[in-house]
Amino acid sequence: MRPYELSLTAAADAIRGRRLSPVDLVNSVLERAREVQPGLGAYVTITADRAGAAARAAEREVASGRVRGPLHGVPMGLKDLIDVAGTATTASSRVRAGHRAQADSTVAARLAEAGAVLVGKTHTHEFAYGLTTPQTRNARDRARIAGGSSGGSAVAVAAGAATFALGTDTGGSIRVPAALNGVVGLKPTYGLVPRHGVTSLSWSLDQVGPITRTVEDAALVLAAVAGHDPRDPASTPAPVTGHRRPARDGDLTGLRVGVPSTYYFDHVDPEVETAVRRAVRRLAELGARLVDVEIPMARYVQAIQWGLMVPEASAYHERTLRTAADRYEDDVRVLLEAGELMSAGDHLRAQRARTLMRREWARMLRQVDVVVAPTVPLTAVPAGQASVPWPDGTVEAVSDAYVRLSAPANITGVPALTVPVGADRAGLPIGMQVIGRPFDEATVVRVGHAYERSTA
Amino acid sequence: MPSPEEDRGAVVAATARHIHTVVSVLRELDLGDTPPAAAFHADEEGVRRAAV
Repeated sequence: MRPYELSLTAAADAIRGRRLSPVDLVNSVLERAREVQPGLGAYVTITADRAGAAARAAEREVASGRVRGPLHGVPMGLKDLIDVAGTATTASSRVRAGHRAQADSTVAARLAEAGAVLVGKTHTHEFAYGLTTPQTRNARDRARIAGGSSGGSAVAVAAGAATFALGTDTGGSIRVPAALNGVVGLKPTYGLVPRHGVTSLSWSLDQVGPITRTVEDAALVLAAVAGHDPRDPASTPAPVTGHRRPARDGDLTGLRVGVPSTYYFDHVDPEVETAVRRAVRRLAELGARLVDVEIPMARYVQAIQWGLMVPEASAYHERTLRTAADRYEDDVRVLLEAGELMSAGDHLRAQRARTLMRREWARMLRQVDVVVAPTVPLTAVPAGQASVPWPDGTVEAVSDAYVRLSAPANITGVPALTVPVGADRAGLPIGMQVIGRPFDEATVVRVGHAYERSTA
Repeated sequence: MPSPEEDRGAVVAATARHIHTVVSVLRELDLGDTPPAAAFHADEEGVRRAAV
């Protein structure tokens, strides 16, 4: 196996055991990133010189007996909404031409302190406002979409062009591209990972989280970036616990796994449903007790999501919409301008409905430890496809379909993981979502890891 | 022929109408005295503590 193919966990073990040098690992990933970049377009910028210097520094530390932790010398991609001092944060937009970040975001600083090596900044759907990431192509099939908005991060990890990456998730933007490219993505609990220095799409929904090749890898990255920072007003002062390597033991005896009887399996491709239900049965074989759950207020998911995100995004962009509107791509400009027309009453109604929905989800999550569901209702569509026809004659916009099953975790703030559970007949990956209680990432990771180990 | 700017204005207006239609479903809810949640801490409901 070549170094760029290693999981983060395997690379960390090899570096700690002096079987792999950070320079060799970073060079392997850089070479792979350059090789696949023309076809996949995962990166906005590959920071090769910077990565080389950081890798040599990491290697000198290893030689002197200092290994900072599991991320020491490990190459990563950061979604290009995340500030890294001295580099541009382009948000994949012409609006940010000439940008240069003055300081590291909290997450970039924490990852640097943990010894991780930046390979480059990955493409996002412009300002994270979309589900396709048109600059980037799917890692399994270049004629299909990468998914978004963290499309570059997911494709980089899937293609071996980064050992791990960070994305952001406002309505599914970590989980959707992770699922569509066959990798793991974790949207942490709202408030767990500080967003200071990360470009916002929607303050009350955004979260930063890892995209990796295994669940164990995601837990390692989360441990490095989680924890209070008062510069993000939503950051929680709660102590960080449980974000460590999951137990080797895959036994799930006694765990109550909620299986939705409503919403999450409606308007879902039969191949996706079959793969997810097979994975759910596997959890039962591992000892979990399956419990039917009804998803509360499902009818209002899209209305609440839009009622929150649309005006918050337009507010964030208010000034540049006045000064540089023609630099936005058409799709994003239209959404931002239309968002300015939403009434305060509609926005407040969405905020009040969120209060109700959070209460109802809290009640549901007292009955079960996690809820499992498809991450997205269909695998990656061909680039350019705008809508999805369902067998009952209804037609859904592709972006609405991809966000539909992931948005509830953003509205309620709970953690949600996507883990690969197979592929459809065309070989396109399918993801299962594991949704947990607030700040109980440990259980979400335990379930995902147990499933992953059982199929290895 | 409408100008490109007029065309764009029509697309923005149509998008705004669609957004309005989607969010209007929330008018069905009886929100009573429910306060808005502008930003929040995810465990205010005490789910994790209550479930130990």
